Amino acid sequence: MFILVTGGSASGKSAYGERLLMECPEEKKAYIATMLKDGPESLRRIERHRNLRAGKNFYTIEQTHKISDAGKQMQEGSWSAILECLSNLAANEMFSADGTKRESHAIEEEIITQIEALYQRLNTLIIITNNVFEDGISYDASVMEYIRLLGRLNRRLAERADQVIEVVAGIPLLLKERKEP
Amino acid sequence: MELYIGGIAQGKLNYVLRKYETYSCRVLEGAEMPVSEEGEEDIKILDHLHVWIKNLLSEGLPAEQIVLEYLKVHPDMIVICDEVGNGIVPILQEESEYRETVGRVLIQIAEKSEGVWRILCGLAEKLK
Repeated sequence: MFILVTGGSASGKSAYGERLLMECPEEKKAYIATMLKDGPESLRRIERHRNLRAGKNFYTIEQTHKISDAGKQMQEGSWSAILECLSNLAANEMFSADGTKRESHAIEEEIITQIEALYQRLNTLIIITNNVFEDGISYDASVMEYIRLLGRLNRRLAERADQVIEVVAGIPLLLKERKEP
Repeated sequence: MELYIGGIAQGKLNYVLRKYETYSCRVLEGAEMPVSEEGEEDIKILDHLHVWIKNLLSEGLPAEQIVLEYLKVHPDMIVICDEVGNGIVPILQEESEYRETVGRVLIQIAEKSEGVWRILCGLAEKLK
């Protein structure tokens, strides 16, 4: 089962995704964290998410780049996982700390291939992404390229997904459900 | 008239072109408006309406009136527009006027449309 969860910032999409993971029948559950520890704000957010999932018995895997490597940390057995979140992963792959930027179409193909590889290792994959597309602001060219990259990734993953859910004020809205043949 | 709204890069035009792939379609690009809409195509699609509005405003023209009058003459148009209103209201007056105008125009197009859809992650949700 491949599930894509989207929503605005602080919409409750993470909490909803984690609830889905809790309900997964697989015995082993991985929380794949993509956020870079690069400042007090990100440490604060990481701390908040840690508290959010405390006591849920998730196995945390920190994977800021090359997401398929997260699968290598999973031992024998049947796994489900949540990837938190695609928008961080895409930013990490696109922008380097030294201010350089990679071409977005190559990154798009890489991330899709790596997510496919990760999914091969899993029974259920829940991907959290972000709705950053509706503020109408013309950011500088590199930010616009990032926004378009995330848009393309979301569309390809939504097409691939069995279920796509938008979370609004904590309420899940079903955008797509693949009917079993 | 039909209206498709959604954030940037959500696959709106792609969705419309797929939906009407058995028809001949002509895409009128908002950045190039006004263009001649003469042509034999079954379906005409006005894409990037928000860009047309932005350009009209930057020329000091009454964008709302021009767009609505154009659509009155072309009631079978399929209109595609970015959602630009889900952010902080900008301090710059021209930026807030732009969002204000896009929003008002969309409300009126939605009223006149037989169908309104919102596109997110390439998926369509019927609003009307």
